[in-house]
Amino acid sequence: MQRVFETPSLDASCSQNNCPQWDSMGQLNLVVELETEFDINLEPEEIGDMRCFDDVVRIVKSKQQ
Amino acid sequence: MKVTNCTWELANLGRRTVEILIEPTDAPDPTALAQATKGYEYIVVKVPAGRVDYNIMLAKEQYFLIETQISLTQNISNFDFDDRLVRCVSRNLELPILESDHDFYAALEHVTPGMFVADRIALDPHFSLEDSCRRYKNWFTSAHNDRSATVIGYKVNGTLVGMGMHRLVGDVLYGLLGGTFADTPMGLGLLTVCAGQLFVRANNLPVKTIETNISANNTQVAELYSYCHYTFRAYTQVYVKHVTI
Repeated sequence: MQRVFETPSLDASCSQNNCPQWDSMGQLNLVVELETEFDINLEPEEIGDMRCFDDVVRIVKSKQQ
Repeated sequence: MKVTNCTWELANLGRRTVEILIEPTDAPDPTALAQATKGYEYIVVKVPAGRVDYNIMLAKEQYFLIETQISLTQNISNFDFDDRLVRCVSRNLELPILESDHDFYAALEHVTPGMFVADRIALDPHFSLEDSCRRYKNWFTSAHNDRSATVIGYKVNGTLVGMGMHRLVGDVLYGLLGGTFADTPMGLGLLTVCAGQLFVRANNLPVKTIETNISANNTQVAELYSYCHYTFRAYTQVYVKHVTI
């Protein structure tokens, strides 16, 4: 996420509300990076649910099970 | 200057509306402008970028700048269908023509206030998101009824996530309107930008160029068009004035 959003630091509080780079383009880049990195396919509903760091962790973990 | 009595805006916005298009040979003339706009409640003046003489005159006449329209064009051969983000949004994508009344009105129900938030109506404190929504719904409906444009749905995994319309003239596809629904996941907005190219390819249409207009107020969408290598061809400043009659 740090690489996608090109931010020098990133912690678990990161969300669409406090990260300016997490816009429409940022979301799409994040999806593609996650799919590549973790070899998963994200469904539109899951993409919509990814609004903060914890959401991303939860969804990626659920896809890997 | 070109004067258009926008009769359709009475149903859309409840205001008698006139649109003035400033042409290259025009010179600022407050008297002529006042004459042309007399009796109208909502006045829209479109000025090519760089006409500071008009900007000054319109400010003096109590018009305010509501948006800058950007005209975009793309030679479709320059579009990268293999781009990773394009591939992501076009996965399991269908772009059906919403031809029947049933399909069209079912899709239109998803056009709600909040789908379009960066246009000059949505952003104008004299109007509301509801006004903007009604205006776009009426535009879609008019195009559907008189078949003046092709209305298509954006369907991902069988679910309709947005809709748009375009008109094909010769080998140019004019993107007239498009958007993803208010409850569609962020990121799928890229569909609005590349639906035309994907539709052309899927239907093997003889299109060389895609043209469209966006508002500079919608910076996120402008970023998406830039990402897809559109050429930013022209800028038009849009001034408005509300008159109580």
